[in-house]
Amino acid sequence: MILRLALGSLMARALTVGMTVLAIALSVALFLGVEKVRTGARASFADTISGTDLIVGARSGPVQLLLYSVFRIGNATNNVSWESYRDIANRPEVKWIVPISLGDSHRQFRVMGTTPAFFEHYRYRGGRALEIGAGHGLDDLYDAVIGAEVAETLGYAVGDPIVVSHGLASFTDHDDQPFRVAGIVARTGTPVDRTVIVSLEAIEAIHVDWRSGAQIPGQTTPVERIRQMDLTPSAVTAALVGVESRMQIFGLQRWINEYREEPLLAILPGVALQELWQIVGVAETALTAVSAMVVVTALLGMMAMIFSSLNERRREMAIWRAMGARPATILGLLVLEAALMAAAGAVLGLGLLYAGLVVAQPLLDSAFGLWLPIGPPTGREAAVLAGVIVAAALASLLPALRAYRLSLADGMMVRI
Amino acid sequence: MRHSFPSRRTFVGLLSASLLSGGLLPARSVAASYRVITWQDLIPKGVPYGEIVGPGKIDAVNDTWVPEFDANAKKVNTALDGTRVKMPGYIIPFDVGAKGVTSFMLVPYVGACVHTPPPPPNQLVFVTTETPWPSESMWDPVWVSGRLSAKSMSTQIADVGYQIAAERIEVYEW
Repeated sequence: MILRLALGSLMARALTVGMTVLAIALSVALFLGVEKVRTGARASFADTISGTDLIVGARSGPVQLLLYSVFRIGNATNNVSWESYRDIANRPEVKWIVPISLGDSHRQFRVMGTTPAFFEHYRYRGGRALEIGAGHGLDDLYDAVIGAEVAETLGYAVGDPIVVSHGLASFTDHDDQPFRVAGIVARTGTPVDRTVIVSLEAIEAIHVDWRSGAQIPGQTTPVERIRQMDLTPSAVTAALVGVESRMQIFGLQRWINEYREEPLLAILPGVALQELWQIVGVAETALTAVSAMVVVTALLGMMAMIFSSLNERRREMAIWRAMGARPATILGLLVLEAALMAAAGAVLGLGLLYAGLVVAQPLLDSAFGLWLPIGPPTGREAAVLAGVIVAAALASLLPALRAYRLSLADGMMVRI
Repeated sequence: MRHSFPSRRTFVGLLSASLLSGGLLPARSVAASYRVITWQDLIPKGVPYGEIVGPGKIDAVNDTWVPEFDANAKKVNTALDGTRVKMPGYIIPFDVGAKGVTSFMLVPYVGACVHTPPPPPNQLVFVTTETPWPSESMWDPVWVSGRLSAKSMSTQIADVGYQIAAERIEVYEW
């Protein structure tokens, strides 16, 4: 009975109610969206590397080393000399070691020099190995294996030629030594999707005719001669390390950090990731707080709307009272109306969120490599929606109490 | 048709019975109880622990020190092997996924790694957990409960020392 009254009353004021519901819906969608991006970003970061015990690079900071070596964000401050790399690789604790060399690019994608062991040892999302979707791995010196997104964006297929540029963004091409797309890695949802992988020797090979940061004019060593050269690199950018026993991680880490020949840094990826969260956490909290304030603002708007509607509805309230409705019924009616508006807003907001996700998912993935899974609402989201409805009911108590007190006296008096 | 359903009273009875038993079961398995141990308990009784760190390699010029632990640092308290224990510590995450940490090293202290050597081998507990632990920060201690395995380190290096397959992890309240 009272529900029907509430619904009818809301219908009768469809426009103002609609605007209020829309405001609540937008605020809810914003709040849930921020939450979604936040958890999605954390998840995709945490899922990017697994199974690697230590990351070794030139001494900088743990977060920076993690970002440039695994996420291809930012730059290395320095390289690790090949001698140091060999020294670490020869430690008894080291089970496997994969060198990576960065600093060149292809269009907007970074090029990473490594060894075939990378495909063997790199793991993501709880231990999954990379899978070559088409073609094969690095067999020849001029073979390049590209990520799924590189292939998709640039329309490359296995066998296509590919020219690597010098630097991370560049007008200087290594066009004297073109590569060939040998394989395409199946989509992983990690930065590997946006990486062109070549062999460590290839990185050396394309820089054969380079001195002091520029190509020696007119000098191009023929590819045949390069193939016969010793292409052992003089340095690598970083290395991923797996240990024999995890009991030895700390000992090896300390050995590397105290390495005397060169300042090196060894980090545990999980620890560096937590340090990153502590930095990012402040911004996350700020974003969540702002979007929560938007929800509060929308609820305040609803409260104002109910207050102003009380004026129009004085007669209505008085008639109900005259027909036998108790003051508590009036109060209940107003609170119910508010809860219904909030519920409609919450549901509409959820709809907006999913619609937004469907539209934004591929865009976010290609622009930022951020994959937001579309799934049923989580318990946390459901709690947020319930919280909004309860908050709306509580917010409406104020105008409802006013109506409770005034409904009879106010409405029956004829004012001029 | 009507009689095929339990009456309301028996239904309520069933419901409360199932609630009660459901509420009691986990309580009983907890009552099967974990023995609360401290980090001291991991050092075998009678092992002189004063001088566990040997001189190692000290380089005064470059200000580096790679310490070496002596045999005492590797002795484990095998008396604890197979005991269900509950112990506090800090998490150094190893395997981190979207849902949290699935394996980590439980250590007695964190943040001292720069000027002192890492904790000796018998002050480290390798923990695996089926349910990922949503670890937000290195600085938050936890209680880990589960069966402790203590394998002597006198054999080979791989997979020895203390390990716990965690049955439950809780936030440590100071």
